[in-house]
Amino acid sequence: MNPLFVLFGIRAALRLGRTGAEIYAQRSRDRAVFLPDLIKPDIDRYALIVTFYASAAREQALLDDEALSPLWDEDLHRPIRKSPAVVDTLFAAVIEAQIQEAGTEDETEAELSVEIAGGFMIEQWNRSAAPISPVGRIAITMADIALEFVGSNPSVMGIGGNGERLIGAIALNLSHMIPDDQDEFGTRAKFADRLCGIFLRAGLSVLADHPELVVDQDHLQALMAETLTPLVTNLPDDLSEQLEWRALLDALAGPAASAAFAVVAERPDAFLGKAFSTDKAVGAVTQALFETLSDTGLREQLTDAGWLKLYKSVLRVAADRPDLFIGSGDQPKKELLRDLLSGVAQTLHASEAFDGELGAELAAIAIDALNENAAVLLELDDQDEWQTLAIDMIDQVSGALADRLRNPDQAGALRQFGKQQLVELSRIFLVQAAATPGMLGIGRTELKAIVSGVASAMAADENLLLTSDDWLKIAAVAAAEASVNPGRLFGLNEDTAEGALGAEIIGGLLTVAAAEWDKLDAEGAAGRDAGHVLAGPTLRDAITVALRAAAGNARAAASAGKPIETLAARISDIVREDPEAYGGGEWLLLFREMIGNALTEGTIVDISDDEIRTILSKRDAA
Amino acid sequence: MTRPFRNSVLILAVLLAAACAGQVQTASSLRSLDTRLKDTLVQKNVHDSDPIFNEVALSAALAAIAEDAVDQARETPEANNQVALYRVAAIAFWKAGEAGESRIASTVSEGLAACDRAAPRPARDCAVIRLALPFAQTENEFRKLKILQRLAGQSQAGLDGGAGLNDEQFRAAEGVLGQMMSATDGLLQARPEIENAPVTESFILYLDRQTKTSFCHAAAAFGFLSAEQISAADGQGRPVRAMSAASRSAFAGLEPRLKAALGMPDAASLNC
Repeated sequence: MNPLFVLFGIRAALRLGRTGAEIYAQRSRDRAVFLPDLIKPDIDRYALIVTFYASAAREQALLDDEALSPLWDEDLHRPIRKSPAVVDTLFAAVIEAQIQEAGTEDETEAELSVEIAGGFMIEQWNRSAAPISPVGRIAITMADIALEFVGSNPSVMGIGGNGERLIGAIALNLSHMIPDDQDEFGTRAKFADRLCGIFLRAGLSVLADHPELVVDQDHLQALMAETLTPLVTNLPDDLSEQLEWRALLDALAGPAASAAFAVVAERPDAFLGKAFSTDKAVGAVTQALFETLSDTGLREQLTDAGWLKLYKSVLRVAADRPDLFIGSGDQPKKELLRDLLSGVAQTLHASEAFDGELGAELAAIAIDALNENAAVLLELDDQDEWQTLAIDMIDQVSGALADRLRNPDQAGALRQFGKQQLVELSRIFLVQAAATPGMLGIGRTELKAIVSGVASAMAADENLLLTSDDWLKIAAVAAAEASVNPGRLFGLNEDTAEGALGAEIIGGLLTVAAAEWDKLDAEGAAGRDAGHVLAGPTLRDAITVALRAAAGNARAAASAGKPIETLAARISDIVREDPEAYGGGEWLLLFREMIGNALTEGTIVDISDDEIRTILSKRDAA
Repeated sequence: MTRPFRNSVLILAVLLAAACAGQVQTASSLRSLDTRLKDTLVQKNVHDSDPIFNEVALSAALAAIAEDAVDQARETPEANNQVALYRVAAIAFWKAGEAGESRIASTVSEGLAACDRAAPRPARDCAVIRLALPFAQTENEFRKLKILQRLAGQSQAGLDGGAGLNDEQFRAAEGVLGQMMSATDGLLQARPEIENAPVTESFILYLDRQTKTSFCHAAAAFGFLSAEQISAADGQGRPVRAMSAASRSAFAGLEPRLKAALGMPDAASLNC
């Protein structure tokens, strides 16, 4: 289609009412309105009989009937009496006569389909009598939506406003969206009409929420060309595929468009200037999302909300690092994006525990974390493998946690984790890994080793001595220490995860705490009733202290004498024997002060009263 | 971007931005009136069989909607907007019953004048304005018939379901029948012109449905009047009283004409 036709189309559409406001007025006048029915009459059998025999021919037939004629008053043309016997007999005759005449039903009644209580919704015009061109229809739709915003957001629709630029951006892509082929006009134009409406509404809403935003007309046009146009032109020719494509777009196009415009609002600088790679990248991500969902049937593997979360994360990457998605010849790497989206969905689906929205959130965290650290990470890895890195990262975390969650009996403390806490736990590892140069890379499984190590330590907490919040803090320390002390606490690959030092230390302290918990006091009480302190925050802090200390002296921590465990047991004895003098604070202080010596000397069996007094006096002095 | 494209965007933007507040306001008012009218009519329909329901209040509400619409139509310069507003007013006055009886004729007259000025002539709205008068006539006569039926029922003169009306009332009932037939005739006469207008197929079906209902009202009046005649055999010493031959003949001819106009076979039932 000649681009000038677009201009003419819009002008023609506007001329229908001379101004945009008139178009709105016309739409208000022409839309379907309620037309009420007439009140129904109260008509009885008697009236039906006399009405039927008002016809002279029918009355004559009645008079010719020997059985019925005595019931009929020929002078007044009515039944001789209004008694039930007479009326019922004549009414039966009417019914029989009607059946004999034709037996036809009134068939027009059912054809008025838009019936509501006592009337019908009917439009102004017969559409075939008042055709509007496809371009005109889209222009009217756009004007209609734009005018909705005139009243509530005048600044958006003012001259030179962002709304004007957005309308222009969509209008100027119409010629690409709607093919010249007249055979295709109807289907594609209607689809384009709907999609333009969805995008315009989403765009205007975002722009109205960000009045301070200055958007660039050329970038908006490029963004629409890369985002909206392919969605229309990719409408399949096959009818059943068309239905699927429409259903998919109906469900997700609105939120996706809102997300795309939100990225423009969040990162306006990315959409300014002479480079248009950001627009291409955002368009490519959008195309990839819909093509992935339609081509490979992956939609069910995450929820729609989950897919949108994932999409938003990838959009942010596209805005920040469009070069990741643009290949040679300035062409978007659609394949890469499809691999990323389908790879993430398949990875999460395989992990079972992270299927659906939970998995999508985990994936979004991973992608956001990668994005935030892209500058460092991508210096180390081939950029072409970006999507592999993301999928690998998600796989390592979701896989390690899913291994434990698959068997609740062996999950220990993990079984008390709700969905949000699992996401938080994953976030700790993902953010730490993305921020640690060298931890990620093709073939590297250090991240999984750390997650597996922490998960196996959590599995040891069968008595649930720690809350999930405690475990999140421990995981944060473990991940941080492991990241700066590679190989010391959790090994460098997943094979060493189970017997890793970090897991051993946590397991050892949990063993001491569990034993302590079970010990009976003089009155036969146990656990908290017996005043045992090595649980909850005290135990949590003991573990974090131990992890930090062990990371700096791994060899000693791993020695056969189990110095950390032995120290913890000894301090527990001291605190238990004099509960009036020592509590959880003292336990922790002694542990923190003595763990260095314990590791240096290999183990500590005896702690003198003087030593205890010296340590506690330091605290008192402080 | 080429200059024509820039111009097109500018034109569109300027036109949108210059959207006349009056036009938008009229359109918004029309939408609001349409919504009020629909809600009130649906409410009326829902409560039609509820004896406790305040019919008077609802009629007053409909009359108020109609007056609002007429006021706005008179203040609106565009003929097309006037037509839409008169359509609202015509329906509301029609359904307001007695509260709208004295106002509907002038409203229809003003509405049809606006139709003549409008270009293009709004097909549905002008048709509705034209039909509102026979619709209102049918329902007004229906209310009169109900009163006469009540009077006949209260009278002790009727025997075996026989005549209960006095002669004056009988003549009034015959007048009701005549008005109802006239309303049905009015609908039949309007049909060809409406059929040629670019209204939707649904509108024609809607019109046919109302035309049949209007005929059924006449049939109910005819049945009532028929029963109110007095024969020599009634045995109460009253003089014979019969419906006029003109009324009978007019009614007998109405059904075939209706079926012909609606394209129905002679033998088809009207399902009153």
